[in-house]
Amino acid sequence: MSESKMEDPGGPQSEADVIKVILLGDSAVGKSKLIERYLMDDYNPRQDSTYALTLFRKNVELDDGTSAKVDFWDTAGQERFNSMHPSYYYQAHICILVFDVTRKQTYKQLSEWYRELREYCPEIPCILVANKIDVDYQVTKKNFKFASQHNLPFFFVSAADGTNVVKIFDEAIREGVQYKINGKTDFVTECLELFDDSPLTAANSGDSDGKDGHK
Amino acid sequence: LRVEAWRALCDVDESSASGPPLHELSPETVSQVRRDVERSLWNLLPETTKRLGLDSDGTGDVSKRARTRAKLSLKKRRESLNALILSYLRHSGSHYYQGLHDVAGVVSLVHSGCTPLALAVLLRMGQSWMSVPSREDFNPLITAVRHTIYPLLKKFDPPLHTYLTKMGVEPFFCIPWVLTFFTHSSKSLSSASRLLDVAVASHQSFVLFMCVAAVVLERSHVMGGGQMHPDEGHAECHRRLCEVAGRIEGGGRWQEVVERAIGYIKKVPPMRIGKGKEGGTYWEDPGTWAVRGRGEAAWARGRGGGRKVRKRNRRKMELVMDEGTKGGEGNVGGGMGETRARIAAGNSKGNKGGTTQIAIAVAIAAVMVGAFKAFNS
Repeated sequence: MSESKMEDPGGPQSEADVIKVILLGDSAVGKSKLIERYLMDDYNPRQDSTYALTLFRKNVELDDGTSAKVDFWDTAGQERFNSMHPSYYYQAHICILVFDVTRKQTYKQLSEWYRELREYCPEIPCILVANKIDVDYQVTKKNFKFASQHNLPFFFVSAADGTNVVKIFDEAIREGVQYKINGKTDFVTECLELFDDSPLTAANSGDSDGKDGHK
Repeated sequence: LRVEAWRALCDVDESSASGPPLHELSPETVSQVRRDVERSLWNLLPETTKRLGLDSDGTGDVSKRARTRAKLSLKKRRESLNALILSYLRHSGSHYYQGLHDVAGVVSLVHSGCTPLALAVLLRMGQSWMSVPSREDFNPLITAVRHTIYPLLKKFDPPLHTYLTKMGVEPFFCIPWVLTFFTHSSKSLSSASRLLDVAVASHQSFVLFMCVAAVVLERSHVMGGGQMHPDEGHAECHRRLCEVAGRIEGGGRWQEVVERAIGYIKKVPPMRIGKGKEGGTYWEDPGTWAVRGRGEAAWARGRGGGRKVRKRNRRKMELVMDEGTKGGEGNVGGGMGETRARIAAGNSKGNKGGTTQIAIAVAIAAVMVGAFKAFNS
C-alpha cells in the first residue's frame, strides 16, 4: 500500500454485515475453549488465560442460504478487566453467558454478569450455557433457576467433548441475525452514535480525559 | 547466568525480601491465582507440553512413562509458581491481575523455583512497569495506554496513526503486551526471559514504546497488506493488531522491536508524552507511571530528583541507548549493552558493591551476548 493511500484509507469504522457475538462469564469457565471447539472443531486441554479483548471471525452460512461474517469476542473473566467492557459490549448482537458446573461460584456470579450486560445492552438476546458437563453428566439432571428467572434459553455443553457446542453457536448466530434484522438498537449504542468525534481523536488532541471512549 | 544478571540489574539479593509478609490475601485472590497457575507455563515449556501430547500439532511423545514424568514436573513447577505469586502479593500488597502469572512464571523458571532471589526480583519488577496494572483497578492502566500509544504513533508513523484512528480502534490491543511485557506471546522460555531482560534493564514506561515499535514494525499486516476490503471495520483491524506480537515472536524479531523502541524513547523521553493544554503531562498523574517527581532516573531504581540529578540521569539514559544500539551485530547483543550501561549507571550513583557489580556484569554480559547469539542462530 502506498504512503498516499495510507494517508486516507477511507474505510468506515464498522462493518454493516457483521454479527457480533460476545461471551461473558467468570475466569476459567471455558469461554475461549468453547470458541476454539466451535471454530476448529478441536479441543486441547492445554489452557491459557485470555486478556483484554480477543476477536475471532468466521464466515457462516445462514438458514436462508446467504452468508454472514460473525465476530466472536472473547474477554478476560477477572473483574478488573471490566474497564474495557464498554468496548466489548458496543454494537453486540447476542451474548453467550457461560458458567462452570463444577464451580458453584461461577453460577452465583451470573447475576452480576447479567446485570452488567443489561446495563450496556438492555435488549440483545442472551443464551445461558452450563459448561464442563463432561466432568459429571449427572449434573444435567439438576435444575438451574437462573435461566427460568430471566427467561433465557439454557443449554448444557462441554467444550471438552463437543456436546451441544455447535448447537449453541448456531442458535446464537440465528438469534443475533434476528436481532440485527429487527433493527433494535440499544440505548447506549444510540447515545454513542450521537457523538461525531471519535473518542480517540479527542484523546489525541488532549481535549479528553480518555475515559469515555467506547469503540 | 541470567539469575546473576537480574540480581545485579535489580540491585537485589537473597535478603531483599526477607521481611515477614505484611498483607493478607482474600480467598478470591488465592483462588484466582490457583486457576491461572493451573493454566500456565505451557508456552514456556514446549518440551513438557510435547511429552504430554498437548503441543499444537498433537504429535508429541505420549508414552505413559514420559507423560507421567512430564506431569509431575509441570505440577512441581506450578506449585513453585503459585508459592512465588502468593509470596509476592503478601509482601508487596499489590493487587493480582491476570498476566502477572505469566511474568512470575518466567521469573520462577529462570530461578528454578520460588527462591528468595526470585521473590526479590519480582518485587523489583512490581515497582517498575508492573506497578500500574497492579493497582486497585485497571483505570490507571487504561488511561496510560490511551494517552501514550496513539500520540507516540502519531509522532513516529503518522499514516498508520491516521489509519487506526479512522478505523476507530481503541489501543486495547496492547493491554496484554503491557501486562506481561509481551511474554504472553512467547513460545519459549528463552524468548520470554530475553523480554524480561529488557524489562529489568529499561525505564518503567519502556513497554509502551515497545508496543508502538511492534505495531510500526508490523504496519503492513496491521493495514491489511494493502488488501483492505472497502467495508472493513474496526473489529477486523483490532484482530490484526492482536496478531502483531505473535507474528514478531514467530519471526524472531524482538530485537528489532527493542532497537526501534530505544530510538523512540530517545526522541520522546517519557516526561514529554501526553503533554496537555494545561502544561502538565500524563506522567504527573499519581495514578499512573509517575516519573516526573522522581526525575527520569525512576528507571534506575526510583531514585533521583533535582535538576542536577535529572541531568546526570539523562546522560545515563543516553548511555543506555548508545550501548543498546552498539551491541547489535547479533540480534540480542544490544540488550546486554543496555545491561552494562545500566549497571554502570548504578555504580555512578554510588550503589553498594558497584565496582564488583560492573566486573560481574560485564563478564555476564559478554557471555550472555554469546549465548543469545547462539540462541538466535
